[in-house]
Amino acid sequence: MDPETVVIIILNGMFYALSLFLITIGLNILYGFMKVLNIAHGGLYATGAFLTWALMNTAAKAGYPIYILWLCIPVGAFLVGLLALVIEPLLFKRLYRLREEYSLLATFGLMLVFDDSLRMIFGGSPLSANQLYNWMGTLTILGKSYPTYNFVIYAFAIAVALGLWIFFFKTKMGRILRGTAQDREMSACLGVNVSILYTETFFLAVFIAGLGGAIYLPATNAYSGMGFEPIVLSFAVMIIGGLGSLKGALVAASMIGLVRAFGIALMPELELAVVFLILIITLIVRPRGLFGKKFTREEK
Amino acid sequence: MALLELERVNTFIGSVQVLRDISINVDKGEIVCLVGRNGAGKTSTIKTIMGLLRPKSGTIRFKDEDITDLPPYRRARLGIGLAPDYRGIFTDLTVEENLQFPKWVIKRNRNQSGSNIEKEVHAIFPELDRLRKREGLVLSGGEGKMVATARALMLNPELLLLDEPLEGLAPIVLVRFAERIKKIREALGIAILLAESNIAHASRVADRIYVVERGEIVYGGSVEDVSRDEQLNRLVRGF
Repeated sequence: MDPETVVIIILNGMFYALSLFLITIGLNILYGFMKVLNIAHGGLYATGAFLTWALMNTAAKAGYPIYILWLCIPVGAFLVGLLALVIEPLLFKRLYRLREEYSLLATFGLMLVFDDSLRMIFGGSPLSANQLYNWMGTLTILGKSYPTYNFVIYAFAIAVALGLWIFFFKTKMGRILRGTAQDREMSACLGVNVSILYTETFFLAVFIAGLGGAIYLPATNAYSGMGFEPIVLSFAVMIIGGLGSLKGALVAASMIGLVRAFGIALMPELELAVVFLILIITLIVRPRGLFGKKFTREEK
Repeated sequence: MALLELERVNTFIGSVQVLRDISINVDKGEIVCLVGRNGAGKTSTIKTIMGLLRPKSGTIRFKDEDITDLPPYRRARLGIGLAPDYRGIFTDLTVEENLQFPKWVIKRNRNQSGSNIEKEVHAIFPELDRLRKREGLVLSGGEGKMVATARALMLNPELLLLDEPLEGLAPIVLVRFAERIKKIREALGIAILLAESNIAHASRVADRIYVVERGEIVYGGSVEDVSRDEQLNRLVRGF
């Protein structure tokens, strides 16, 4: 395999890895703070793509300038975030105090609702909104052309990772969230309205999932069932990286993205087997994941 | 008028009744101690006052306001601070972050003014300066109790609830911590309600005590009276 091909495989691997990362951090936020395993997160990612498609399609047909199409990405994600304000009080609030298997079952049902609703509204055919992708053209890397838009995605995912790290570790709100994640009763006794804090956190996690779907839309398509595959791999990323770990999500998503890309190039039939082999080895050797924390007596 | 008043409070955990017709009161600036054996109902009383357990019947009044149905965060904002028996230190955060936590929350809600409570707390617990950068996870038992108490004080409360603050402390640390509890009252003029299973410990700090047994108040009065009464003494000691 020539070095040019290896570089392109790595770039493709990272392209996929960062989509997993954007879904996994949402999952990690929800599990880390509310102890909810949200399978419907894939559906929210897909909803981000579909809503952004609707916005971009309308804007493109109306002949709006290119910056309006860029604006469709955060607006689409924000609309998905608004969905959070409906499903959180209706469904998730009831799951916070229940065991994880209840949230798995309930959110699996919600995932099916999302998938069928999107199919009912947008139809079963893949929907393309590649105006931004085409507008940005290609770059030549070691003699091979590579879409410039993909670099927007790399930069965006890194900015999200950095932004979240600053938010959780350097801001007051982030520290309040981390404290509440550890002991919500104590947090309430120190004046935190945990119910509102959870809704805000849920909005953040859903917004990031929507943003993931929205930003990937110009480079891929919006299609029925698009939330299912990444959600399965995102759970693998979450376990390998360590539950609730931002750093773990980035490292594990990169690992899986690269393994998958090289798997497709070298042994397509073993692509997923290798990913899940890594998962099994992690569970045997280091059950709390690469960057997962041990539970302490203080944690409640 | 009492600062805190519980009137015929009955609390259940599941189907088990943990508090039976509890009626107690705490006046401004008073140190009151709930004394009883493990499982007698001291922590349940503290939790009911804080709103972590909801009473099935009875009334809780704080500053003449009925707070029986208020959630814990509203009670905290009204001026009730809690240092629980398990300390509740956020192990992921540093001591400094633990201490700032209530300030951030209250600032965020713009409910109370800052005042110089921080200075006062550091004057009562000067060791906090040394521990500032340390992670909550690596604190010793005594340090954890100190940080939990200091953090509750950062709420600028009018009533401080301390659940088993002296339990498990080495004798010398215990004497020092008991002095600090009295110092809190002197410096801040707030009322303190503490739960303690050891009558000798309670006598170091309390103005008045209530003896709790099987979820009921069986005695309320001075520490001296209990110390003199062999039957009450035996009840608290358990032998």
